[in-house]
Parts: sequence; C-alpha cells; structure tokens
Amino acid sequence: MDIFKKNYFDLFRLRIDTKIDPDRLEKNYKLLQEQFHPDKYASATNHEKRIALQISSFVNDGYRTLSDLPERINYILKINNFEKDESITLKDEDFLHEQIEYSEFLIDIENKTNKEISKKHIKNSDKMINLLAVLDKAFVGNNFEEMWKCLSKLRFYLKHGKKLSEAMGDI
Amino acid sequence: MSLLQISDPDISKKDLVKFVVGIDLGTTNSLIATIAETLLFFEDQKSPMIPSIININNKGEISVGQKAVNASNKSENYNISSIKRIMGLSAADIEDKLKNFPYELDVSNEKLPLIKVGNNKLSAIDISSKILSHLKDLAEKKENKRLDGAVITVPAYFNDLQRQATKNAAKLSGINILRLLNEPTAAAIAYGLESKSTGTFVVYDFGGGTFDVSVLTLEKGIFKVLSTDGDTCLGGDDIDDIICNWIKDNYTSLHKTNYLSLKKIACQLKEQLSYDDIAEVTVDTTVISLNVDKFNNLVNKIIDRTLDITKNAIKESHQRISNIKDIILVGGSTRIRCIKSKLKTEFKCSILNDIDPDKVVAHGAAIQANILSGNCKEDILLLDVLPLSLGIETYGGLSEKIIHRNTPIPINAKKTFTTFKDGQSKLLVHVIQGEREMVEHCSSLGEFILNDIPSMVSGVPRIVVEFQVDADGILSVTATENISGVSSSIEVKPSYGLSDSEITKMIEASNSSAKGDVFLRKLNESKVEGERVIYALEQALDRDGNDLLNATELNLITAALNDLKNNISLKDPEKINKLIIKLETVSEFYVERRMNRSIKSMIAGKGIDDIL
Repeated sequence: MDIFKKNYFDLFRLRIDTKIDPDRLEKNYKLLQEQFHPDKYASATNHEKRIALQISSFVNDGYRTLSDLPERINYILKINNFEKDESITLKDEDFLHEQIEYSEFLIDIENKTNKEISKKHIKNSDKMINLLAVLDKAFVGNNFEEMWKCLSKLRFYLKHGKKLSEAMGDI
Repeated sequence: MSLLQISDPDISKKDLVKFVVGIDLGTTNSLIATIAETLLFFEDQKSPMIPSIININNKGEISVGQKAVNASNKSENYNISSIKRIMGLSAADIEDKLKNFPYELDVSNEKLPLIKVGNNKLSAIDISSKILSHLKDLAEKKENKRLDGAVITVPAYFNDLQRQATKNAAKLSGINILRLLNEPTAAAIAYGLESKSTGTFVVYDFGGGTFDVSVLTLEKGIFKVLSTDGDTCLGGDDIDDIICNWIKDNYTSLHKTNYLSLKKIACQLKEQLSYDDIAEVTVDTTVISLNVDKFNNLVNKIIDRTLDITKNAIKESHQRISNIKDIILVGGSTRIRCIKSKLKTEFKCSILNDIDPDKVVAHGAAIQANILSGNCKEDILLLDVLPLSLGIETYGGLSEKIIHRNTPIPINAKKTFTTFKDGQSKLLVHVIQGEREMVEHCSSLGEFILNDIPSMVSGVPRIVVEFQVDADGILSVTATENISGVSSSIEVKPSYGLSDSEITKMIEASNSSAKGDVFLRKLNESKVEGERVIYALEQALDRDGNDLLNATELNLITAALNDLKNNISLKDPEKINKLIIKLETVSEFYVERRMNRSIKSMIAGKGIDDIL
C-alpha cells in the first residue's frame, strides 16, 4: 500500500518543521480516521478490514508522533537518516552541572518552599525557550548533530518541568 | 458480458435490517437493548435489570438471571454472583486482589481457575457465557428472530486478558461480537447523541465491581477519548463489604450469618440511603439501623480513591479542570449521594445524570451496534485509547514499555530483538501490561516463543516483533526475521489466554448433550460470514467495479462470487469456508486498489486541508 511510504508530515499535509499547526494536525487526523478507522469497515471483506486496521494504526502513530515535541524532533532526525545510538550521552560540561544541580534540588524537594519551586520552574521554562530557539536555528541550517544535542536537553527539561509542576500541585 | 442483477421486489427493506443489540455485561446486573424505531430493553420477568447470577441445584441444573435469584432461596442450591470481578484473572491474581472471594477454587490450571460448586467446576468464561446465552435467549424469544450481532461493553480499564476472556465468553454463547466497547465511551455516545453537545467531558463510571473514568472530547459526531484510568476491583461490592464488616462489628447476633445473606442486608441499607437519611433492615428480631453520616464515614476512603483516579485521568488528558464542561455519571453506585456533592466541590463543574445511570451503557452500545451493522447511517466515530501500557520483560525483571497507555488505538509498534548465543534458534519474549517498573507488578500476558531462527553468530539475527492492538484493545503479535533484507515469518506461540482450539473444545463440551448443535452452529457461522463477504463485494463492485477492473479481472472475481453464492445454501460449512477464502484471495488486489484510490483522493486535497 502506497500510504505506508509517506512520511507523517506528508500524511497530515504539514510542512516538515519543528513547529506545527496543531489545529491542522487535529483536523486532518480526524478526516483520515473518519475514512479509515476499522469501525467504518465493520461489514467489509476481511482483507479490507486488515488494511483498514493497518492504515488506522499508521495514522494513529503519526498523530502520536507529531503531537509530541520531542517525538516530532526525533522523527525529523529519522527521516533525515540521522540516527544515533541511544547509549551515547552528551559531552557538555555545563549541562552536566545543571543536571547535578537539578537532581540535588529534587532530592530535597519536600523541604523547599513553594516560592523556591516556582522560581526553579520559571528558570526551567526560560531554559526551554532558549533551547527551542537554538533548535530552530539548527533545523534551518540542517545541523542534525546540534538538533540531536538539543533533543537530549529538551527531554531533560520537560521531565523536570513536569516534576516541578507536580510538586506545586497543579494539574 | 455480465448479466444485470435486479433485486427481488418481494424482499422489502425491512428484511435487510439486522437484528443487533448492545449488551452491558455488568458485575451485578446485565442489560440488553436494541434500537429499532426506538430504544428497547429486553426484560427478564418484567425487569430490564437482569441479575448477573447463576444458580446450580443439587441435580447440577443451572438457572440464570431472575430464575437464579428465585431459586437461590433453596438452601441446597449454589449461587454464583459478581463473576465479572475475576474475568481474565489467574488464581494468584484472585488471591492478591480479592480478599473476600467467597468461592472455592480449583487451581490446577493457574491461568484459568475454576469455581467448584458441588460436582461442577466452572470458569469465569463459562459462567459469563451462560449469562450471555440467557440475554440472547430473552432477546431472540421476544423478537422471534435470530440475533445477528452484539456490541458488548467492558470496563475501559480492562486489560488484554480480561477483554479476551469477555470475547471468549461471547464466542462460547454463540454471539457474533461486532465490537468490544469501553463502558464510559458507550455512555458518552448515549449522551452525545441525545444532547448534541460539544466540549470536553469526564465520564465517571462507578459500577457494582469496577470503577472507570474517561476524559473525552465530543465534536461533530467524533468521540475522542483523551485518557482513561480506573480500578477493575473497586465498586459497589467493596462498599457492601465495608457495611458487612460494620454489621458484624456492631450486631453480635448476626455473627454467624453467611456472607451472601449479610451482603444482601448491606445492599438494602445502601440502597435505602440513596433516598433516606436513615436506613433500617430487620433480620429476625434484630433491627439494623445505619444513618447517612455514619455511612458516608464508612465509604469515605473508597470515594476519595475514585476522586484521586479521576484527577489522575484529567492530568493525563492534558486538559485543565476549568476546561471540563460536565461530569457524566454512570453506574448504579453513583446513586450514593455524597458522590455528587464531592465531585461538585472538587471539580467545580456541573453533573449530568439525566439518563438512567444503570441503562446508559447498554443504550450507547445499542447505538453503536446499530451503526456498525449498517442499519443506520448516523455518522459517528469513536477514537479510543489503550488503557494500560504494553511492554516486554528486559534483563533484571524490568519492564520496557513498547506502547504507552493512553495511546490512540488501533496502534502497532515494532521492536527488534537479537540472539545472545551463537546458533541460538529460539527466543523467549515475555509480554506484560501495566504501569509499574518491575515485571512482577504488571499483568503477565504471556510468553511468546520465537522458533526457527536461522543459525547465525550471536547478535546478527534481526528479529522484528510486531505488536498490533486492534480497536477493541486486544493485542496480537507477529514476528519476522529480516537479516539481509529477506523476511521470513517466524512462528509465534502464545501461551496465554485460550487458543482457538481450546475455545472449540469448550464449545463442543458445552453442547455435548446435543451433538447436532455443534454442526448447526458451524454451518450458521459459515453462512453468516459468507453472506457478509458476498454483500460487501457486491456493494463494492456496484460502486467502482467497472472503473477499477478490466473485463478479465471482473470475470475472475464474479466467477468466485457466483461460486460462493451458488453453494451458500448447502449444508456444508467446510465447503462454504473454502469458497469464502477463495473469493477473498482472488479479490485482494481489487480491495487494495479501492483502498489506494480512497487514500489518493483524500490526500490529493479533496478532503484534507492543504499546506498553506
């Protein structure tokens, strides 16, 4: 089937980019599922059912991948044939210090005031904004090595941002 | 030249309408509904609430539903209730999760424990299938028609094994399952189509044995589940147990009362408290009295747990609480009055409960059955999610997640494995479901053995295992070895659940009294399937056969089609099955052409939004 050769950006008629229009993704996702969801093939032949199941799964995986920022960046690297062994870690001393600082903060989080946590959270968000700017620049310049580095950092900031939000008790 | 086919004018449109139902297979009660012109619930002795109870008398005769309740007054009879709580559970799971499990078990098959009643031994699948058969009989007798299919609901938080068990019970009862539908999603359909409202909703489904919560958005007929959470061992039964213990602690005269009688009293007290501030039940000379404050106190912990689960589901959905439009209440246990006030205080949104919370799930399932059967052209689409992550065991008993929970389904994922030793020909893949890090804290779905791996140096083979979850939330696994670009299929032996041959054996055993039944059943199944395939292909050919096929191709398909049509009334299921497979095989290329065409027309920008 031709559809499986498409990359996910083409599938949803989106430009390959680190930023996407979520409304367009949502709209096109629903249009595709309205056409190919297995429920629409309940009385079809078994082969048609199988294909519908495969296409619907493919569309769902595409939607899942493009909806999530780190997954989306990872996918851009993948379609550009830039793949790195996951066991390779970043050699960035400043970042290493930051990681240590974060883990020390989180170990002792119960003794931190809301103000301290909130301050850390804002700092985390600022870091992420800066990082996204670097990432976009790397993407425009086809610098996949740099994008890969940004991705590792981004995952770290997202994970800690989540932990800090949880500590502040908001949903 | 192919001949024109003109339909028989005597076959009115009414004959083409399929008789399909929605079934809410509940812990305490089950319901079965259909939609013809209006919604209709089939009744058992004038009640749509059909007790999920079976009774076995000293002769080994089984009665189900209301009859079972009536028969249960005889002391020599055995009653089995709340069987849904152990669906798909292993003996160890039962021991682990259900402290008050009241029946004696035969655990010789660890994966399929049997309940011992007198000389009978029955699995949860057997018992559920008896309940389903009873529901089917009630509907078929009332309508005087053969049932064509059913949508059966399951708790959203049911894992793969629990879903498989439900499907197997339906197979055993001879019901053609159109779909397994998650209970909160079913409720949302009933509400969504009644009110035509749009927005984000929380479905809070607190039943007899299970608690489920789903967060979903509703827009122009699309029901999109964002997240789901729950506890398949938390329900009205647990509240009854707490009251039972309270009765034992406070009324010494009732110490020796058996569990099932105590439970009945507890249930009466609980139900009275849905309306009154004080409930009283008299047993012999003792008056048991419970007031609403004390009751709220007793159940507080359970209700708080449901609120925590609800909060977690909202968090997972990435929605703000302020975005939630309404909370839809489903399940008999939501009649507990303090639930409403607690939900209002906690989430500050309005409560929707205008559809009877006991009936709303079967109602939604009936709507979905009607749509799937093609009886109505109502355009709705359900996008559901995987409730629990799927993973595999890695070194050190750790779980590596392959598909995360709350991923939209259907979904597939691939994982590549390799060998550890030179010339290794087998690989064992342990598939698990659950959120915890350690394998022992997750549910084991089973071990798959990959056989016949070609002899190579360790680390060289590339074995790609594909995990496919269908729209019912059920997993299947296939594997291929594709080193040097050559794909060859590898046999995957599942060791969990029940194999097709085991199901066939169970069907045969259950019909052993009437051997002819087994044959008739096979024949009927083949005919139904054959008719479906004929109908599907005729419809397709009618629409685009001339556009997509040349004369030779058309003849090829028409010949196989006619072959099946000419033989479908034979009393030969084997032959019918062969002809179905033949027809499906010769039309594969045509089906693919049709699918490719609809993809092209969609992506060519006819439907889909283009890049600006």
